[in-house]
Amino acid sequence: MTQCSDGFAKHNIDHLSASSINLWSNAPDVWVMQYLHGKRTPMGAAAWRGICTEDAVAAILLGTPATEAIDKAIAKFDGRYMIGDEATTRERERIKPMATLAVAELQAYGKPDFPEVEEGENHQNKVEITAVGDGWSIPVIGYLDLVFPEHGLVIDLKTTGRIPTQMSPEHQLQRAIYAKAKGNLAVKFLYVSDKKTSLLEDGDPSELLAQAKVQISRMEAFLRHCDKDQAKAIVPMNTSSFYWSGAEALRKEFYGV
Amino acid sequence: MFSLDTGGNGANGPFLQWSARGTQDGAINAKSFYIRDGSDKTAYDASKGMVLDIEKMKTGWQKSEGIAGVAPEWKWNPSPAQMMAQPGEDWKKGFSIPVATGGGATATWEQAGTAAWQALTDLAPQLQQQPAPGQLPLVRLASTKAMQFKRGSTISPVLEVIKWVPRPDCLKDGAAAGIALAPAPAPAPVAAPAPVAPPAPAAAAAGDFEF
Repeated sequence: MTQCSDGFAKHNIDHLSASSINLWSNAPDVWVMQYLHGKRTPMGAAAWRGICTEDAVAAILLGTPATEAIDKAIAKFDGRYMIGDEATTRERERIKPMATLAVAELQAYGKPDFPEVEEGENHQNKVEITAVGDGWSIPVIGYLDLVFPEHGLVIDLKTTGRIPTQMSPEHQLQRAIYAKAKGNLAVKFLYVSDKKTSLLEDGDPSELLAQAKVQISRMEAFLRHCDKDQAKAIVPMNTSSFYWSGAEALRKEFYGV
Repeated sequence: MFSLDTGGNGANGPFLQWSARGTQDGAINAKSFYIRDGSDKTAYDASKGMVLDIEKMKTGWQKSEGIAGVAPEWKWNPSPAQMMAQPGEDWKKGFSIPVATGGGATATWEQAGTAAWQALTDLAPQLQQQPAPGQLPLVRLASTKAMQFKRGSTISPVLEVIKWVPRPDCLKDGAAAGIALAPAPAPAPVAAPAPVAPPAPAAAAAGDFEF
């Protein structure tokens, strides 16, 4: 087992992820609330649509009839947004076209490979690399959406309202972690809107991880120098950050503004 | 997912209503529920609990001319999870829910407008915890919430699920009138849902890449 030390061990943080590193870099106030005080911001309808769509895509690629898989995904969506508004309904209606387009793009690769797990467990392939600093080390983990070993390919599915021409820096870091962990496989991100798809693989993994290590080192030093209440008191705040979108009440409760 | 029969427009009275400001005739106090049966209005104490038939709930858009005696017009959504586009500027979000009000009596809570809609959407996270089909929430009026807008304000009821109960006879199709609903137990505080633990990491070989 990898030993955590100093700042991470002090706060019982035993691993990081791309989303944690990205959140620390972009919204340290949200990061402190979530990772040190255990208060999660609510998942938005778009994120939940993405999870439901991924479920449908994986099921269809594994042989479940498309109608059944999509109905199940929509039922899962409705389970969280039982009383819909215009925004949640818009996301709900995207599940079917997004799943259909993704499957059309991915069918050529055959059946993806998933680890055998017990019911209820995360069925995705876990990957892990380790960030090592001066007197500390911390695993950085991730979960792969779709692995096609016969094609030497990992695909991460990103459902989105608008297809980007270039991967965001946050997605590039996620891809870098996967690419380094699966050095013998190509890692591509499939962006899917309700109208089209795009397969991207931007960013140099080594450069991105070097940049990430700077952020992780600063995170470790920050953690080493304060307890969680001090962190809450001193962390810079950005109330206009989109990371607070939909969590304004939680921010008010936690930070008082 | 809750499916529903969207046929028909007319709900069965009597009707349960929330009054933020009290009724103009003074019969009903502000910040309270009442039951309207024809022209009769009776105060209803929702703090003791009422059973909402969420499996027959409908949501949609309501347009009211505001004329006494003229029923408002409704356009129902295909399902509560799907909100149609607003039909026009004069249409407000609303819902219709059969309610067991106690003593075997039923009413339909059919209401549009910000206060009632906010109450329902605030309650939704608790309603989504339905343990099994046929189990319905016994909810009570816990408090009220003042809402301020750029123009105007209102007061929304804050409801909470006390417990889940089997569908009472009075909310079953074809039930004879007067079948008693089991007396509502004394309201008890609802235990906060346990925090969801992060998924246990799947067994995986320790990463051998360091940076």
